Amino acid sequence: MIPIPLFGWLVVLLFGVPLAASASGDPTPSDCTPAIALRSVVDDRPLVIPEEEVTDAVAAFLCTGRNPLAASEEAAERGRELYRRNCQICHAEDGDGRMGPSLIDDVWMYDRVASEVGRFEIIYGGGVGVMRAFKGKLPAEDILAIMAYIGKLRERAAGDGRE
Amino acid sequence: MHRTASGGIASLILLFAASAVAQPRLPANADEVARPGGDLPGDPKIALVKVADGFRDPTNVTNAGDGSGRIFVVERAGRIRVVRKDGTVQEEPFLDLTNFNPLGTDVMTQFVEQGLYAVAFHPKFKENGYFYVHYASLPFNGDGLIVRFQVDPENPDFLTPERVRETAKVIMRIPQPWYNHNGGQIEFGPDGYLYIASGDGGWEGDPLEAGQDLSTWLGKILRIDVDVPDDRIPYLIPPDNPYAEAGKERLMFLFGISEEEFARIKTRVRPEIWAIGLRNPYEFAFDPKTGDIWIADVGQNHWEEVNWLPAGYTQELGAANFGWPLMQASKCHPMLGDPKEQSCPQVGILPVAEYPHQQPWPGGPKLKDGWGCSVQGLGVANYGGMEGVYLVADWCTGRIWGAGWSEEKGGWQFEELLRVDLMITAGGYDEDGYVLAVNANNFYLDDRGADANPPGALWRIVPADEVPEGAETAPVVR
Repeated sequence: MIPIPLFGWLVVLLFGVPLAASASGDPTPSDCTPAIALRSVVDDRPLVIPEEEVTDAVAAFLCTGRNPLAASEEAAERGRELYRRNCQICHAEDGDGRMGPSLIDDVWMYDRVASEVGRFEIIYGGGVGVMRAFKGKLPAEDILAIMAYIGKLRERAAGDGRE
Repeated sequence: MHRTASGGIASLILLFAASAVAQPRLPANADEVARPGGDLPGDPKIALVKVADGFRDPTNVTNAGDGSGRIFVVERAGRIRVVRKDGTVQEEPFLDLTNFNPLGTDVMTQFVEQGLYAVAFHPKFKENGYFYVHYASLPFNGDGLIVRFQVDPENPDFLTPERVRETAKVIMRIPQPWYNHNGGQIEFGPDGYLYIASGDGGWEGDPLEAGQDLSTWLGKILRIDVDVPDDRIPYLIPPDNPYAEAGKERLMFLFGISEEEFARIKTRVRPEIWAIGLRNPYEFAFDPKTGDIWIADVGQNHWEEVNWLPAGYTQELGAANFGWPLMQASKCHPMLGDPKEQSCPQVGILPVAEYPHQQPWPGGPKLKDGWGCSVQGLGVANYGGMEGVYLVADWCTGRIWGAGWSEEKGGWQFEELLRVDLMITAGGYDEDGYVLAVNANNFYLDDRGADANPPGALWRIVPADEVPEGAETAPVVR
């Protein structure tokens, strides 16, 4: 993870309007108008990612709404360990759910969670009850790594004909 | 009702017959068990109004029944906080179990299910100052201690550490083999006896088979008489406990004894047992109007159950049996697949209501709505159009359901009344009979410590059209 400070992200996330561009990397905030404005899946409150968590991958995700780590084996491997520590207790080792809902089918508790943006939003900002917000507990890029691993679990389930 | 003169008698008979079958009754089979999607009489609408906040991991709430209007909020770390009638929270805790032992706290809280579980005030608290607590004891490695304390009449809002030590009388120590499933609720029944909810001891699947084992207190509701003539006696067994006499030593006679008489001899039985077959009843409640008992029994992988017994319930032989671990709710345990394709003997009494987890059986469909994962009983509402409606909250999903009888439909109903963005841990009553709820902000993987987790709050459940102006209400999930 290479943290790159990007000025103005807090405002971007709040209002969805890019105010500043970064000179490093591509895409930059100026490449994505409008940027993704993250919201809580529960009550639509804006979700704000602190600047120090906006890495290249997070910046790219916020521009496109797609997880740039989705195809990264390395990220998925890192996500596997993060998943084991943070998600498995409720969603089970194979992602099929137990205390919490399944992550490997298409029955989403919130329609938005069908998209990668919604998936990020519910992990980062939390859902209702025991689906706790991971904001402040996991940096945003770790959430993208977990999503990459969940993608693997979904692929595996589809391969098993369990989707 | 329009009635002709000629049809009057027949109608009266029909009416009598209808009323005879329309009384609340235990379900005879699984089809009579209510599930989400029901329709309670009176079309109740509720709201949660904040009474006070700033509580650390609140695990329970009750009142003292002494006319003071105080509400007592139980904090997991081992403190009981007083909410005064005006809604302000007294700074000094009413009881503090963390500082009376010179070696440090007396309460084990390492696992999130452990801590101070409940407080119950003696029915004559106003006269005798006795109250009882149930907590996981640190010196006893997590065993559940039931201890009586006595307030200082000169200082009814606060027990000093000295007072705690001097007045403590240990009533019972419930050995706990594992750190989960400790039950917790204690409450005096309308009969004046102390009822104690005890979980199956933990792990999963009841490896001890405690639920059906009459030789252990685990997996039971216990009932004891704490009004002893001499404090050298911890408690007495109520003479009408189901197994009060079953284990006593006696001469043995064979032949000429009926099977019923033999069935009353249980040599290993614990006479404190009042009901059996429970997994983890964190919470139970008596209906303040009828005396009926309601028990919210937390389920395992697939179903949560809500149990009911009418006031004064007795049965010919033995104790009320809620089935665990041979059954979970109205289903077989262990669940091997679609309940329609799995049969097992129906053991004991069926719950009056049950709700599924997201997947109601292994390999079953995944539900979008109407599911949860851990039932917490709050209390019985007799207001706002509700009559004898037991309110329960799902800890995982914030859903609040009401379970109640519908005369019109002649059966039990289970209706989702509200969904809130709170992790509700328990409930109780204020002195006016309103149902209270407390929410905590901790989780198995997110437990910074019983005194360090983000604070929770105390809520009063009121009819939606009676929310006081300017009151803060619980965040509702649409």
